[in-house]
Formats: sequence, C-alpha cells, structure tokens
Amino acid sequence: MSRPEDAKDIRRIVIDALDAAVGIRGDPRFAGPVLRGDDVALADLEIDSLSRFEVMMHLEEVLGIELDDDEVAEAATLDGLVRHLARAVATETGDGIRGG
Amino acid sequence: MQDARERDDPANARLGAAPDPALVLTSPLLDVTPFADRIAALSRRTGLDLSTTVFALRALPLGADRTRHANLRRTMAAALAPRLPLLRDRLPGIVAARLAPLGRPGRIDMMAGVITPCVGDVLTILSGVEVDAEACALVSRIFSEVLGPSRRLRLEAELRDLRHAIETAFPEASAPENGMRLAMVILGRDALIGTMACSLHEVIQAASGRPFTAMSISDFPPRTGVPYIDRVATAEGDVGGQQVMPGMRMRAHLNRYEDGGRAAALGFFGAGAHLCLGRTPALDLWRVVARELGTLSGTPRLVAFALRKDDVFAYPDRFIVEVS
Repeated sequence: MSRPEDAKDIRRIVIDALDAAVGIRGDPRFAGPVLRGDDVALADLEIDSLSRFEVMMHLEEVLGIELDDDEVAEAATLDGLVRHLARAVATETGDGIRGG
Repeated sequence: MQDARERDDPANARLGAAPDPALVLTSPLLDVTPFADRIAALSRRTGLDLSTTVFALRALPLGADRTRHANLRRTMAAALAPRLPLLRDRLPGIVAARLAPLGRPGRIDMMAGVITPCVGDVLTILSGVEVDAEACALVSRIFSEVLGPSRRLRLEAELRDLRHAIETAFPEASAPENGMRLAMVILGRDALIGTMACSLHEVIQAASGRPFTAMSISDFPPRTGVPYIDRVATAEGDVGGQQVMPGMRMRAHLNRYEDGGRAAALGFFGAGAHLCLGRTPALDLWRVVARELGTLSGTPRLVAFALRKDDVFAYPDRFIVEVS
C-alpha cells in the first residue's frame, strides 16, 4: 500500500470505495458533481449500514488506518469524510497530508 | 453517512424522554436486539469470517428471543450456581491482593493495575477457565454497532482464542455448554470492569481527599458499567406512554438508578425475564471491595479519569489515582 500524497488522493480513494459499494460514478445524480470536484451530501446516497461497512473495509485496506462506524456515519458530506480521513492518515503516519 | 432508516427512526429522537427502564425491559411489545442475525448478515455480505462471533452471540441468553431465552438462561444459571460459593470463598483473597497497590504510597493505573486483573480473577472462577482480561480486551464489544472492519476481525480472533481455550479445558462438554462459558466472559468482562471502575471513581472523587478509613462506602455500587440496554419493538402499542411500531428501538436507561442506594442499585441489573445473572457475583465483588477499601491506610487523590468512546459500556480508558 502506498501512502496517499494529498487530500485529492484521499478523495479519489473515497469515491472508489463509494463506487464499489453503491455505484456513485454510474448514478447520473452524482456522476457530474463527483467529476467536477463538487461536494456531495452522503445522506443523498442512501447507503445502508452493510454498504457503509463495505466502504470502511475498502478505506481501511487502502489507507492503512482503522475506522469505526460512528466516525464515518458522522461525516455529512464527501468532503467532510475526506477531511476526517486525512486527519486519521496524518495521525497514523505521524505527519500531515497536504490540502487539496 | 447515516442511512435513511437510522435518520428517520423516531426512536432515536425519543431516547432522551425514555420511560421507566423496568417498563421497557418487561414490555411484551419489545424484544432483544437481534445481534447474531445482524452479524451473520454482515458476514454473508462482506465474506468476512465472523463465525465465532455469531456462535458466541447465539450462546448469549441476552440476545436470545423469547422462544430460546428461557432454556439458555436456565443452563447458564445452573452452571453459575455451584461457582458462586467458590467465588465467595475466594473473593476476600483476590480483592486484598488486587487492591494492595492502593495500600502503598504512589501513582496507580487503576485499570491495568487493579480492576482489570481483579475482574479477570473473578471470571476465571465463574467460567472455570483461565481468563486474562487484558488479552481479551475486545470480547465484550461484541454488542457494539460501531466497530469497524479491523476491530471486528480482532474481536473475532479474540473470541476464537477464548473458545479454543474453553474447549481445551472442557473437551467433554457440549458446544452449547462451552458456548455458555464463552458467554459468561463476554457478558462479565466490560460490565464488571466498567461498574467497578466507575464506582471506584465515584467513591474516590466523593471522598475529596479523605483517607480510605474515613470514607463511607455503600455495599452497593453507586455507578453502573451498563448505562443502557436497547430493545426492539415487535408489535405496535404503548410502552410507558410512548407509541412504538415494529422495528423501532427503545432504550432502557439503567443509569437512571445511579446514586439511589440499595433498591436502585438492584435496578442496574435489569428486570423481568432478562434479569442479569451476574447480579449476585457483581454485588458480592463490590461488597468485598468496599470493605477492603475501608482497611487501607492511605489517602487517594484522583489524578485522571476519562471514559473511552463506547456505544455500549461506561468504561474508563484512563483512571489514575495517587495514594499518599
């Protein structure tokens, strides 16, 4: 696993995870905002708890961190989740992640 | 990233105005949270091997619906009964040894140095198998709904090790009998540690600088490590003035009984068919701890105390005391 270089990397990783779990890139409501780099309200994705767990499995594996469900559930938006993960990665690796 | 069902569930908004916990726990409209079914579904969906977690959850009377509960509870009560006199005999020695650090001047990590090993000793006697409570730090978190994938897999590994130790110690016992021993450790660990730790914290804080010998310590723990228990509605109706619909969650707030003395402290252990089988050993342990504290010559001062993030238990991850 290579460490993500910046918040853009983490955003791509999160979108990959969401795409694998709920097909975010194939959904016309979200494909445009995701491509443009806009924020997305995670509640609009209507992710159930099992899908959320799959997202967490993907994120833990790729980012090399440990997550609890409440941390992920608390994120209201895609950008909010990316910021939380950037902090978690920085804590895990002991240094900062560049903003993006 | 809440899902739509959680977001819209009116039970979540009503937890603050919950009715009398005894009404929640005895209502025929409410049943236990289907822990095992949830984890089995998670395992099927993700492909993770969570088989020991599911085995353990199915062995717990706490998680059994009414049709299975009575049998499981009878089996566990029968297994516990002969262990209780043994525990009473040994408790004074265990508690004296484990509380000994509080009898000497110095700084004490109450969790690692006193409470966790003490509860490990108690669970060893109750279950009949050596329990290193430090080595099974996650087992009671089997009830948590927030554990992420890595922690859930570590929990599965801890449960597998504990199950193996039990099956090695009791090779002739049936799977349900050994499941019940596993259940004892799961149910006992964080509930006992949390209750002892939060109660000791309360006692030391309330004493505000007085020596142990000058403290007035009740025979009943003033705090509980199990602040609430959730139930799920199986039918529509009224529970303590609140309308419930099938699938709604309702919470019995057991911490409402804190600071209430004997009658209230008994409420910590629930009510009705699910009355906690650990009530007798927990109260026996606290009674001996309270008496032992009164024999210590030092004066304790609280240095640090913080609860860990936990959606099930009140459980400190930091509890430091200095004795002078």
